[in-house]
Amino acid sequence: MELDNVTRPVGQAQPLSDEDRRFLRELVETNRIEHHGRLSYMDIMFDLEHRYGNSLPGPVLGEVARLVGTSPAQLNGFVTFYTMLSTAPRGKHVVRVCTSGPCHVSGAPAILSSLRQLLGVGIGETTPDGEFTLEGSSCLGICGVSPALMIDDDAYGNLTPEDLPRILDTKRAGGAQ
Amino acid sequence: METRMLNVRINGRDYQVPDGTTILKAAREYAKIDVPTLCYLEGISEEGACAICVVEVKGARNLQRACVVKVGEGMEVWTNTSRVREARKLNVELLLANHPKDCLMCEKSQICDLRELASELGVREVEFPRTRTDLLPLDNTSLSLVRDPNKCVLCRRCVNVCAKVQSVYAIDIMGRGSNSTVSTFLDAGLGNVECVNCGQCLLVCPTGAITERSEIPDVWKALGDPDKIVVVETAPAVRVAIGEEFGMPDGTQATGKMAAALRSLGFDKVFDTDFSADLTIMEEGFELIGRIKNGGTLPLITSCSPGWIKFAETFFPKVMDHVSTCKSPQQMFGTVTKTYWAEKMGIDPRKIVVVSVMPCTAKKFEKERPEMKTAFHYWQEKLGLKDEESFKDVDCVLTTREAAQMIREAGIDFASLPDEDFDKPLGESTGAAVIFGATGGVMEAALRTAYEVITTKSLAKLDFEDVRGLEGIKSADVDIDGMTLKVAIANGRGNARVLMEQVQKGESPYHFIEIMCCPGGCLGGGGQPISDNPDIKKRRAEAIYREDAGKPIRKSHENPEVKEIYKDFLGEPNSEKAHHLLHTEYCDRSCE
Ligand code: SF4
Ligand code: SF4
Ligand code: SF4
Ligand code: FES
Ligand code: FES
Repeated sequence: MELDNVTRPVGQAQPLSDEDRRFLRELVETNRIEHHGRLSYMDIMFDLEHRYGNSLPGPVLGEVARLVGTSPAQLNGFVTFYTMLSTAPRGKHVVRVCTSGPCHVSGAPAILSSLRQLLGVGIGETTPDGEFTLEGSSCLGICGVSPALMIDDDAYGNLTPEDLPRILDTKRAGGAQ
Repeated sequence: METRMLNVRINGRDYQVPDGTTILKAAREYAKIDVPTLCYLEGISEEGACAICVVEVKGARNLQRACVVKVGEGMEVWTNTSRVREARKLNVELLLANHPKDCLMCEKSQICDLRELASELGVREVEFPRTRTDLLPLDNTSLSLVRDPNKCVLCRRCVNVCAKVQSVYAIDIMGRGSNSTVSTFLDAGLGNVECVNCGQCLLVCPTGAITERSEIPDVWKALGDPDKIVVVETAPAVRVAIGEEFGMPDGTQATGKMAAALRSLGFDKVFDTDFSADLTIMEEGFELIGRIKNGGTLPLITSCSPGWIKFAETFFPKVMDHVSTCKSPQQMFGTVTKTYWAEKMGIDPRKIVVVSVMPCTAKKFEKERPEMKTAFHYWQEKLGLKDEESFKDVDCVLTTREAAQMIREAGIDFASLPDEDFDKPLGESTGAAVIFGATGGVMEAALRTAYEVITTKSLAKLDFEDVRGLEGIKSADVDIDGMTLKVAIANGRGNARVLMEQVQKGESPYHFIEIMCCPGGCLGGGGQPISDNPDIKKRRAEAIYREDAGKPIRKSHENPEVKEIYKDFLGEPNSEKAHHLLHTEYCDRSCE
C-alpha cells in the first residue's frame, strides 16, 4: 500500500544514497569502538557536521537515530540542546562571537557590529555566497584574551574591529590562523 | 530485609516513614497534608521540573522539591511557611508570564491543574513581563491531536508517558532554557512522525496544551442538514465513563442515558459499536480457528486498536502477517451501515453520515486511512459513482469528552434522563461485545465463540477470569476440549513491545495475542474523561463486567442480528464478501 504524506514518519523516511548510509554506519561503528562499546553522540555530531557542510540534515539524523538505537525525537532533543549544533543549513565557516559578560565589557558589541557590517548578515544568518554563518555564543572559555571569537575550530582573542577583515580573508582563502 | 523506619517531623508533628520515602509521599500519605504539585506523576514523571512542590527543610539553605527529595533521619519539614507560599506563588507567576491566559475559552479550563493552582495559591496578578514576543505556532499536523506550545509548562509528563508507558518516543524537549518547547523530530509535527495518536499525553497534560482535534462543529453541521441521515455508534468503553462528565459516580453504567442523550441531540439512529464488535469476534474468531486448523501464521494478534496498528506498522512491519486482517469494530460498523443497512432500508449511502463516539483519539486517524472507503467501492459500480464522489466509511469521530460536550451544549440534563434502548438492527449486541472495552475483553469474547464453534458444545462457565485484570501482560492456557490454546494479553505499548519482540524472533509460544494500545484497554483510552481518581480504570472495568453479566446474550455468535446479517448479506464468516467488506490491509511505515 502507498503511504501518503500525512502518515509517513519523517524520522524514518530517508532519501539517503547508499554511500551516505555506508558512511553513517561506519561512523557510528568507529565511534563505538573508540569509546569502548559506548557512544559519544557529541563526537558523532561533529563528524557529521564536517561531512554535511556544518549542519545536520534531517534524513541523516533520522538514520543516525536508528543506527544508535534512539528515537529521532530524542536525538533531535540532544542536538537542539547544544547551540553549536544546527539542523538548519549553515555556511562553509561558522563565526561564533562570544557575547558573555567578560567579552561584553571588553568590546564584544563593537566586534559584533563590525562583523555584521563586513558580512552583511545578522546573527543566525548566512552570507549569500554561502561562505560564513554569523552566530552569537556563550563563553568560549578563553576570557583571558577577551573579546574573543571562534571560526570553525580556530579561536581568536584580544580582538579589535580592525583585525577582522584580515581574519575573514584568510578564512575565505582556506587558511587558518 | 526490613525497611528501616525514619523519624520525620512535618509541620511540628512527628511521623515514622520507611527509608526511601519522598517528602511528598510522607506529607500526603503519612501526615495527610497536601503539598501542591504540577509536574509530578507518580512512577512515570518524577523529574522535579516545576518547583511548585517546594517545602522548607530545617538546616537546608534552599527550599526543597518535595517530590524528589527523600526524607532523611530526623528531618524537620515545614510545608506552609510564608516563605514556601511566596515561592510557590512566584513559581506559578513565572509559568504564567508567557501563558496565553485564555481560561475562558480553553477546552481544559474545568480541569486545568495550572488554573487550579493559580486560584488555590491566590495568584491575582502576574508581575513578570512577557518575554516571548510572538505566539508559537500550533501543531495542527495530527489527525487526532492539536498541540499548543504556548500553554505548555514544560512539565515533561507527556514526554515521559510517550516514552516510558507507550514506548513510542515521539516527542522530547527541544532547545534549552526559556526557549525550550516540547516537539517532535525536526518540529515536523505529530502527524508526520511515529506518534500513534493514542492521546495518553493528552490525558496526563496538566494544562490545555494538548487537546483532541475537535469534530464537534462537523457533527452539529450534519445534524442540522435535513438531507442527511445521521447515525451514531458508541464504543463499549464509552458507556461506563461518560457519566463521569456529568458528576455521576465513577463506574456508573450509563448505557441507557447515553442512548437517550444521543437521541435528544437529534441523531436519526442510535446504534451500537457493540454490534460490530460481535461481528469482529465472528470474523476474528473464525480467522483464528482457520489458522489453527490449516497451519496458518500464529500467533494471531488482534487488530481493534488503531494506535496499536500504527505502532506495529512503524516498529514491527515485518511481522504484520501475524496481525488479524479484521477491521476494527468502528470501521466494520461504518462499512456495514453504508452497505447492508443502506440496502436494507433503501437509503442512498451518500446521504448517510456515520458518527462514532469513541474512548480513543486514534480512531480519528483510523477513519481517515485511505483504504477505509470500502462502502464507496461497493457502491461505485452499482451507482456509477466517479472517484471524486468517494466517501469514507466513518465520517466523524467524537471522543467521549466531545460527546459529553455536545450534550452539555444542548442543555441536556444527562443524569436525569430516562434509560432508553439502542435502535435496531445495528444496536443489538451481547455481553461479549461489551467487554471489548477492557483489556482482555476481546480475548475472552473470542474464546467464548471459538470454544463453542470448535467443540460444538456449550460453555458451562462463560467467565475466563485468567484473562481479566489490569496487569500489563497476562497469559493463560485455555483448554478447548483437550486442545491447549496458549493466549497472552498486553495493554499499553511498552508491554506490547515485549510480546512483539518474541514474535519477531520467532520465539512466541502463543496461539493468540490481544494487544490494546492504551493502559487498561479502551477504558483507559485517550478520548476518555480525565479523572484524578487513581482507581478509575478499575471502576470502569468493574462496570464493564457488570454490564456483561447483566446481558441476556453473552456470546457473539448468538447475537440474532449478527446471525441475520450473515444469512441475508455476508454468507459465512470469512466468506469472500465478508473479506471484501470487513477485512483490511496494512502498510510498512518504517521506510527502512
Ligand atoms: S491551560 Fe489552563 S491556565 Fe492555560 S488557558 Fe487553559 S485553563 Fe487557563
Ligand atoms: S499520542 Fe501517544 S504516541 Fe502520540 S505523542 Fe501522545 S503519547 Fe506519544
Ligand atoms: S504539553 Fe502538557 S504534558 Fe507536555 S510538557 Fe507541556 S504542559 Fe507538560
Ligand atoms: S566570556 Fe567570552 S570567552 Fe569567556
Ligand atoms: S511537582 Fe515537584 S517539582 Fe514539579
